[in-house]
Amino acid sequence: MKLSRNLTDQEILNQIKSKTNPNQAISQLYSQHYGMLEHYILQNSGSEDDAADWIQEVMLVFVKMVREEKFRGESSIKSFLYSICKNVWITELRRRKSTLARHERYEGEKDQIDLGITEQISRNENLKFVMGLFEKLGEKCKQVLTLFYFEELPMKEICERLDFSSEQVLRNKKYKCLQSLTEQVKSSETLSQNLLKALRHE
Amino acid sequence: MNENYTLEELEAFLYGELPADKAKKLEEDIKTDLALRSELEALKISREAIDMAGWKEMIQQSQAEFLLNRTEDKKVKPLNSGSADFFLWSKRIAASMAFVLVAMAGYLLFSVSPESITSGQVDYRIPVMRSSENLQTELQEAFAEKEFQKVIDLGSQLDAPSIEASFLVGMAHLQLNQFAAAEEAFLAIEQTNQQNQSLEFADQVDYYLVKAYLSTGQLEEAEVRMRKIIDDPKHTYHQNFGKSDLFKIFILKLKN
Repeated sequence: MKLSRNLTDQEILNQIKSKTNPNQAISQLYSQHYGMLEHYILQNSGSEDDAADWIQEVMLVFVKMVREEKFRGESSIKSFLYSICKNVWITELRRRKSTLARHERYEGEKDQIDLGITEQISRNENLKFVMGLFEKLGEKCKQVLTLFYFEELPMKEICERLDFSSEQVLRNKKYKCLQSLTEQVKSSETLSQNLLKALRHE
Repeated sequence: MNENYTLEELEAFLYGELPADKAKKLEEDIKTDLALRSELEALKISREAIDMAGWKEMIQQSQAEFLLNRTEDKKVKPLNSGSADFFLWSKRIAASMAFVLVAMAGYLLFSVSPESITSGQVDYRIPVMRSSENLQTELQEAFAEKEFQKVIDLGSQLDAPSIEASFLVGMAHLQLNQFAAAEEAFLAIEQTNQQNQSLEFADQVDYYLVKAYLSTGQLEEAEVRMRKIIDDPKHTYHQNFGKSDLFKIFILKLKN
């Protein structure tokens, strides 16, 4: 997509936070910063496929932190994305237990890891697990929940789009879908333990 | 599943939309009811997951679109393809060197000629000491004056020319581009030397025979003489030929 004008950092943050034309903001993040992020991963033992996979994760962490107002533009988006990328990639290298991950270069960078970002990456692991559960819901459930919670469309519009006979039928469907998901979350022992741990910290 | 609150009520609580009195009661219950807290947390992360799944799909689409439209030249080359780069550069360097060598060979092929090998050949100068015989002195003087035809004529009048006189006659032929005659004169000197078991003008004969042979296209013979001079460090003309001259003869052979 060719953008007519580049958004400022603050405009990007606002569009993501308010979900106003977020596609434009994400596209600009890619056109402006993908090369830099890819370069970092390629220069640190990663492949092009690694870069493609993990830059998505970087963007996801970025969006999450913007949405939760953990990043309000205190630094430039470029340097913040770079920090996330570094943290995400070092975490991945350690996870792989690759010999390269134990290379001095990464050992030296231990202290540079941003704890806030690391915490977000860790939280995203739980989130990714639940996202996996969400993906396994029926197609109709996914559509209903996405249109309602992500696109924030009114019930009436969702009803029309998905051909529900009434808003009450849609409301019931939404309830069942959400309940199904939360029940699965609760029935996951590992996740429940993680969530309880998080609760105890609170 | 708790019996006291519906999913909608828990959602409304999470997002601050539950009426104040009910919210206050729920807050009190949370403090003692771990299952309720767990359910709230499960609901919260489920809502987050739905939201993030939407973002993830958007991000995937943006990335796919970006990578599709991305031009090849903007791609970053991986560092771990360093070895590949090394081989690539090695090949480039080898190709460049091969190109230079081919270009040099081409240049040599077109530029090398017998004249290019002997163009720097030193001229023969007669020693200051002169023979007592008048005719021979006259022959030497004619050579010194570069009257080469006169040298040849005087030489033919001598019944028993000295080695020096024969050599000057050979040199006169060489100067007049009468290469076959020069070769004949030089080889005659060699023969006389062999008979007399002497080495008069032997080095000069070797040296100037190279030119005679090259000029008559006898490359093998020229090469033999040249190797003889190069291989003998005590040869008078040892410094006058080198490996590059042998290489030029090799090129001449290729041309022929």
